[in-house]
Amino acid sequence: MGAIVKTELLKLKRYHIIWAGIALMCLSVLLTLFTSMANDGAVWDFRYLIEQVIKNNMSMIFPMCIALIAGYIISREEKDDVLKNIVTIPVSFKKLLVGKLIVCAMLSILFGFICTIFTLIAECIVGFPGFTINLVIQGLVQITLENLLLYLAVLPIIVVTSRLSGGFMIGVIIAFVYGYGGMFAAGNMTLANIYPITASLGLIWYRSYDTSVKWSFSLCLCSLIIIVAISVILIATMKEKDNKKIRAKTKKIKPKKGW
Amino acid sequence: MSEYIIQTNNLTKQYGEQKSVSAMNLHVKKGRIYGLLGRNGAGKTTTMKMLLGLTKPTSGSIKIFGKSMETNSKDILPHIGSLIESPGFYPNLTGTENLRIFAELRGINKSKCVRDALEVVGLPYRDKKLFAEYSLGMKQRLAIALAVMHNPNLLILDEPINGLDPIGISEMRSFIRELCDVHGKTILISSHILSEIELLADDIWIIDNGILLEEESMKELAKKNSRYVNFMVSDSQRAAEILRTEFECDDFQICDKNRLQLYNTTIPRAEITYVFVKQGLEITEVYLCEETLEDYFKRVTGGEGIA
Repeated sequence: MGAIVKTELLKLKRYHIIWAGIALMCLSVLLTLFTSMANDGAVWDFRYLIEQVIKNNMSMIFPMCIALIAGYIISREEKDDVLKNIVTIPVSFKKLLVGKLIVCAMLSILFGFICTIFTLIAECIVGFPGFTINLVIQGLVQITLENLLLYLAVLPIIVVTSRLSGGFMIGVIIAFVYGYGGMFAAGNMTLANIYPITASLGLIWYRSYDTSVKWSFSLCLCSLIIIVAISVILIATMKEKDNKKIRAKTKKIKPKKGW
Repeated sequence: MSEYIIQTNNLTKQYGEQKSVSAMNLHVKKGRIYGLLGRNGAGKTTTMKMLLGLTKPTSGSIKIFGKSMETNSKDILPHIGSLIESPGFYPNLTGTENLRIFAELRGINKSKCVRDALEVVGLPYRDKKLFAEYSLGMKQRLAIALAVMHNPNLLILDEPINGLDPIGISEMRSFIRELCDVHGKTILISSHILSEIELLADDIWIIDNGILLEEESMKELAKKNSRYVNFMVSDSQRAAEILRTEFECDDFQICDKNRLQLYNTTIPRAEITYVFVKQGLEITEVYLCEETLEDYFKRVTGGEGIA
């Protein structure tokens, strides 16, 4: 498995999709800054900024972002017709998938770091009060851990859509809807604790402003353990498909209009 | 251990109603080059894919190195090098980076193996050119480098000379021949270019509509192929009479008024020519004709060509 993970890291070289992930992390912070301009009576300080970045990351950006990146990374072998060379080594698709999922977990952590850096840059620009090193460290841990837990929450979607040729875009849409559902789940105590997306917030001791929400660490942990277990079962029961060459879609030539 | 490197028993692959490969029994001996001939869709690639475990057979069995492929593929595959269909690599990486990935997965000495494999196919080591920028010939060379990088005992190469220039084809032919003759590798090769197979293969298989029509060594094939002497004369009937009376030979065919084909090639042509001239016949052409692999292929498949 070590060799597979190592080669998966090597394959990331010159992948533009990683830059897309970084851009989305930047977007998450920019979106938070835009909301700070709204005159809704909220008092913004550095802590509130970090919490809003985490909330936006959870509900809008990260589930979709990681589903997109993981789907792209997983589909590379079939798209570039490399799978036949890997299967004949022999390395099974299942093993390869596990290796890729480990790398995606690493990327989630990396994006957490990057998101924290963007948050710090935003703080430097806007200058909200209450900046402390302790809060920086807490923010770094919370944002990074939240990204990793969100990745685990969307893992079944990534696994299910991984074998559909070109199906990862469907996974991205589902992940976005699934992530956005967190906004609604956050308003109900039971739902917030069992809905995997919001359960991740409970595990990082996210300060909720809704008084009805009291985090149950064990319930949140159970929710994510179940999600990871589902992913493991999905991978274990996955059938090795016949290697079929993915044929590039031929572009339809539009007839010229007019003269 | 079995005397055969590859042995298949009633190997069949069916897609829906259509049989792509039908009850194929192949026998591959060690240290020989096998040429696989067939038209497009004849079942060559499907056969190769089944041998590599890329496609599961509908029925039948495969034994490679004396072991069942179904239960021992993990032990067998590391000893096989392959190139199936078009070369498939990561377009965002260079040739060297691509090979390093496969060397890492195979657990072999990366730098040495990669450098040696690239050198063999004439590609630069640590070149900055990405695979996406490679020409078809370069891609094909890289695929061959990947196939030989781990020093396999058996090579399964599907159309390996596709896209190579004439020099490249010649180099590749010498390289494949050397792998077999010097290093004792067993090679299974398919090609649309009959002349290449003729120059390279020790044995040939002819497949048509998924059925193995011929499994023959090139030496046996040469014996089987018909040879004849073609005479262009002023009167083929008169020439036939002379052959019967003077040489006591009936093994010929009168093609038209001026053309006669003599199948008994043991009678010296100079002697026949001398007698024909002496008997007043005018001779315009005398030459020996030999059936080519293409003629043989057409005859066996009953078709017009390979493509």
